[in-house]
Amino acid sequence: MAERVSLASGSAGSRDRIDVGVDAIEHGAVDYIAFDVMAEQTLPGQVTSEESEATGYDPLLAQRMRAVLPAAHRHGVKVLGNFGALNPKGAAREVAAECARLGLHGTKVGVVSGDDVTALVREDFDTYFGDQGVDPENLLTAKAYLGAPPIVECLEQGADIVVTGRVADSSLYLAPLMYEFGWDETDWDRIGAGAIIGHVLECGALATGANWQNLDARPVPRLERIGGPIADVTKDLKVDFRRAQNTGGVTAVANLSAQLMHEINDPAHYLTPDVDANLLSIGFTQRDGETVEVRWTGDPRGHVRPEKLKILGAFADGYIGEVILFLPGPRAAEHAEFIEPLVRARMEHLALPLERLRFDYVGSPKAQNGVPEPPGAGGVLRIAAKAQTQEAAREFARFGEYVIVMGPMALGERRWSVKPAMNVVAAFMDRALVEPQIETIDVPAAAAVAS
Amino acid sequence: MKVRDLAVVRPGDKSDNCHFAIVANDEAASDKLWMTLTPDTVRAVVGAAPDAEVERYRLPAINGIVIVVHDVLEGGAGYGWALEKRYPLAEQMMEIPVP
Repeated sequence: MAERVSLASGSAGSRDRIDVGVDAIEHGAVDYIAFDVMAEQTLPGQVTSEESEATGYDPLLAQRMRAVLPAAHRHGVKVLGNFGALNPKGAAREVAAECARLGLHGTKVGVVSGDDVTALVREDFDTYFGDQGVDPENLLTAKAYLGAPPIVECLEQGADIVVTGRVADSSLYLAPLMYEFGWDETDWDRIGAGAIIGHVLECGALATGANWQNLDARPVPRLERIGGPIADVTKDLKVDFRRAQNTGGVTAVANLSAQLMHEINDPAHYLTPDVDANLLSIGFTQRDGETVEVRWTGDPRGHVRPEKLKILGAFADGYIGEVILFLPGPRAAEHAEFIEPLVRARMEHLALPLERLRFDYVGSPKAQNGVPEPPGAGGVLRIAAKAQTQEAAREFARFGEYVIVMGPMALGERRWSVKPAMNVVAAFMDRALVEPQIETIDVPAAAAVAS
Repeated sequence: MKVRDLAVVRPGDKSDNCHFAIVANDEAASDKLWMTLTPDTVRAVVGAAPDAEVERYRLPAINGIVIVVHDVLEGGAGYGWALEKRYPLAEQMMEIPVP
């Protein structure tokens, strides 16, 4: 059984920088790296984006794996990630194919699926979403947040890489600790500690200096290459946070504290599929410029896990047309004021079936007391319209874009787009109904690989 | 004195709810902020309805305060209707005077 395990965070969201993970593997002296590529709001993007429509999973997967896997293989680092989105098995096959192309023969890829609960929700819609103002006909997909145990099972079967669908972010970090230290999944204090560590790691560089510096305060060195957080965890739960060598960013109590509180509700009950974790049980002490030590308060770190799993339903909700007008010059605000009623009048004239229309102006204020803004001032007018049909949203956007040509003499750059709108709604499902599944794929030996 | 002299406020979101993670400089600052950032004050600053739900929590071991204001993000970042406003709201919160 391991004495110490080092976990790195490789990404926070599907568009996060690829070199963060590579740096952690090459210069971080870590055992595991986990990638979160699926924020709550990523789901709509992956249901609807043209890039991932064909595959149903992270569009950057192959590119990220090509950069990460050779280094991971060389350093013996195991890789975990919720790369699967709507299609964990497809994502795992792609990872296995990438391993073969890279010559990483003998690699074992584990897959965790079973997070798709769309059929269960359809059978019993009102139980989950009956009181949430959504229509079963618009349900596109529903996913349950799975926990760490199926990931542990993949590791037990010898997986070097584990690809999951929707799992709690913290579970990607908790699982290697459970596996390496042999923790029982009902050892709530230790499981709680692991989930808390995972929660601090899960947002990547948000814990190490991203999203922190102000224009005139809190300077963060080398923002262009911030490293993600790394946790060194011993079996008796002494924990240090640090970053890979040669990376930018900061490892500091304040940043880690902000991350601990990021997007939480009651800190005494941070609910995950694995445990009801107690975020009040952790404090931080700065050891040196590059290391922060965890100071456990002695309070219980976790309590028995919730009986229900959180699920997310994605519901189609028409289309949003969006127009961005760049209004150059000192009278941008007045041009925006001029354009708004013009667009409204045109929409009335066309009688487009728009549900809502909104105008947001961002930029130089209107001249006060006849004193004009200096040359170079300007602003951006964003106009959005919501419609049930794509045609109506498109008609709106076409006119909205063209208004700058046929409206006032204020021609500037303009962009427009039409996207499906989607409501992502949370609900809860009995754990017993959800059946996580695992399988492993062996990357064939060199001789067996087709060209 | 303003909130920004005593703490850093970092925003986040879950659907329509705006979350604020407030890291106070020390325990005394945390006490002052807890007194200042009452639900009514927070609702006024973020432009929430007078009956909007506001959750507030303290994390003494890190001098932290968590505030969650419900139903203020017009569908949230994933929905794509409103412009991002978490960060302007956090800036506004840091401008609140502290007696």
